[in-house]
Amino acid sequence: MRRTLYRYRYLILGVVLAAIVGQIAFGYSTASSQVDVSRGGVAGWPQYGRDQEGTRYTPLNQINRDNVAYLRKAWEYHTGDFSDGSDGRPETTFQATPILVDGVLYLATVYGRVIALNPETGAELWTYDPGVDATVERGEFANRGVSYWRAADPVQGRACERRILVATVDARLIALDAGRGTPCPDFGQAGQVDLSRGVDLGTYQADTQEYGVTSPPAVIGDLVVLGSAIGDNRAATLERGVVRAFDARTGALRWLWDPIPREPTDPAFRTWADGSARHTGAANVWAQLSVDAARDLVFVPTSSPSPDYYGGQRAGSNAYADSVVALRGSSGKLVWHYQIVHHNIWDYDLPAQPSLITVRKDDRDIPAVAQATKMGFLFLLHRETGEPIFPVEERPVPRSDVAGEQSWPTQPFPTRPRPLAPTTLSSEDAWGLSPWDRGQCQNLIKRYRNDGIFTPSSLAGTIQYPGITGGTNWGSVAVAPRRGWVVLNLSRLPSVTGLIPRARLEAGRPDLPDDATISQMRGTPYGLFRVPALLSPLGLPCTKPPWGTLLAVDTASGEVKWQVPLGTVRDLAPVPVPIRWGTPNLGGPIVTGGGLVFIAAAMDNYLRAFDLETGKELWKGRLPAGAQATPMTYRLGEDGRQFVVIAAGGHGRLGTDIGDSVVAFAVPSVARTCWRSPWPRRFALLGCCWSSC
Amino acid sequence: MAPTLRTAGVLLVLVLTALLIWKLARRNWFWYPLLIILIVIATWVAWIASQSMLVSLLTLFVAMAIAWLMTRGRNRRWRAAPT
Repeated sequence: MRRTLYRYRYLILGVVLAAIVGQIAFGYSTASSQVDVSRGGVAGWPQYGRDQEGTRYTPLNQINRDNVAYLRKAWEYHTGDFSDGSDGRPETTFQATPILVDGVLYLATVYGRVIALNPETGAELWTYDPGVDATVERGEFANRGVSYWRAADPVQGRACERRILVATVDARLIALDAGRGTPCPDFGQAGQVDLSRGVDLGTYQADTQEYGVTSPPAVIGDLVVLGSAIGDNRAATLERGVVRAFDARTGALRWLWDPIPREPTDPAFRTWADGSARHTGAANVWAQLSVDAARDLVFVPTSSPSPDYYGGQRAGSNAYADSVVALRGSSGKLVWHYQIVHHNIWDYDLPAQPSLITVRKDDRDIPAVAQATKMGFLFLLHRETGEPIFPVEERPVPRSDVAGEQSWPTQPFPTRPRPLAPTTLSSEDAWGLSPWDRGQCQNLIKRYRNDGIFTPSSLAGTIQYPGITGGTNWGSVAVAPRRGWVVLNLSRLPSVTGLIPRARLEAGRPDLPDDATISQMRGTPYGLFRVPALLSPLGLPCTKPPWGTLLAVDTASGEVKWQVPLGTVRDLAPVPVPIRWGTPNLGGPIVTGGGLVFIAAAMDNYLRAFDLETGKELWKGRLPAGAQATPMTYRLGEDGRQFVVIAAGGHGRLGTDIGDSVVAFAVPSVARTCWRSPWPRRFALLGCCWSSC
Repeated sequence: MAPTLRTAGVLLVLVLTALLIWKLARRNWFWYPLLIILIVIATWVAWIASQSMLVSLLTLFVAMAIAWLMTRGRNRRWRAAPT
């Protein structure tokens, strides 16, 4: 052995020398990074989706293609609100996107605790704890952020003229003074409104473990508009999925709209056979709403009626469920609706915020709504009428083979853009690390009913592809307005769903895969089982990589401009090998005027920047935990730096690393102290730039 | 039946590889294990990319042939070198 080492001594020496030279070269190139802090404009991030239209676009360009490689962590804040499940509390998921308004960064933790931070340093200014019970297991334990309201004619010195609004997972809407973080006493009861009241159907009491709010409310004028999150596979009759508008000053209910038409006078009532609209719940709006203030419109993406996998007791197409709906902002009256899934029995809720964009078509600018879906379809609708901008075809889909179910014979398929995710999966498509696990996957695919997208759940089990989480989920799309593009991320992961006859369910746990979860769907002849991901015995998806992608779509032509894998298996594999196979993802992208797309979302702990033009990955920054959240960016003053901020707290159910961090990145500014330092520049950068420059 | 055969095939390949390593490695604990590891990696990468047994086996045979040629050349050079 010693002789062998001696024989290869020059090779070994060469490798070591190359590593040292490379390290020094990289270090000096890092040190040479500079950013001209006088350029780039000034902008905040006043809403969850950057603006009321949900564009997730900022004109800021201080960070751009030329200098993004030099982004470094500027500060990190720990909320303290997290659990990995070891303390008996449910595992947490930190999905918040902070907002930046009036020079303060506001965010909400998973427990609904509101935190105000200094955006330059990450120093805490105030916090408010609504006292959400963290020990309770909930259908969806999340909080994606806060909203901001300001009085049109504020009185100087009076409290609560600027308000932070937070809706909690236990169904409360709370108004706080933006300056001090104290509840506004004139809002509801001592600063909060109980949202669990007035949503029952007479036979089902609102359950605040399963009824709450996970997305920040929309603000239009002096109204705060919000929907709800409902655990929708508990029973046939559930809470009403009403969208409500409250007075931002008093908390009084101003209007209410029910996505299920309860009255026979409503034309949509006939889409619910046998008057089933009267006893069906949900169809709620759990995703973020959008606002077109100039047109006095609120856009709401509705979801599945209850229960979400069996529709035998709600035959019909079930309008206005699973639709993009435009409501009059001032009154809540229906303006138009467009149904994207008929008679939903796949949990294909509309998960994404409808983004308001302008589509250039036939030399005309068309005001449009872009709606991403769990199916991997992107619908482009006229903002004023709801008419599709490109043709949408009603295509036949597989019928249900379960007694009692009357699945709808067709579903809408957009022709442009074409489906962005695969919609079929054959056993030949199975993928494995070895012939053995590929064979196991082939057997799994053959075992279940598998007739392509929109195959209804069956007694033997059905492959649902795209799976339960999509496609696209609440990350929504980001808009590149100058190009007329939208950027979005997709997961490509099949699930398995199936129905269990009630008698078999009550006889004990049926023979199901170990990772299957069971839902009762009370009041129906069936229970539900779901396997969230079709995995090989080695724990990898049974489908060919990439398992998650980021892509850009030209809305003028409907063409996909580029598509790249999103994420690596570094934090999933036993050995941290950063193979770019893409991963399932949750969270969304943002687009900047610097020609960049920032996104985390994947199952490795990175925030990434991609070139908007080509999709090439230009930079990635390591995070202390998974980041199943959407980043945001801001720049406070003409002499300030542009920051990119992301919540990195992981996602318990997805299986990423849990944490409680809010991390800000910025490019180091040109710093005089650094240049004067007697140390070489690279050490000066490490030693002083972050602390004193 | 097919999955059982496939599993048996994979196990057979693993056992043969282990025997080969044991047989050859004793001659030179650096060179032969290195070659075998490289052959396995090449075959595996071919499998990952193609998901085809045919392509993987072809890659395996080609890699083994290259390894054999390299070993022959190396041994000949060493024998020719002055002591």
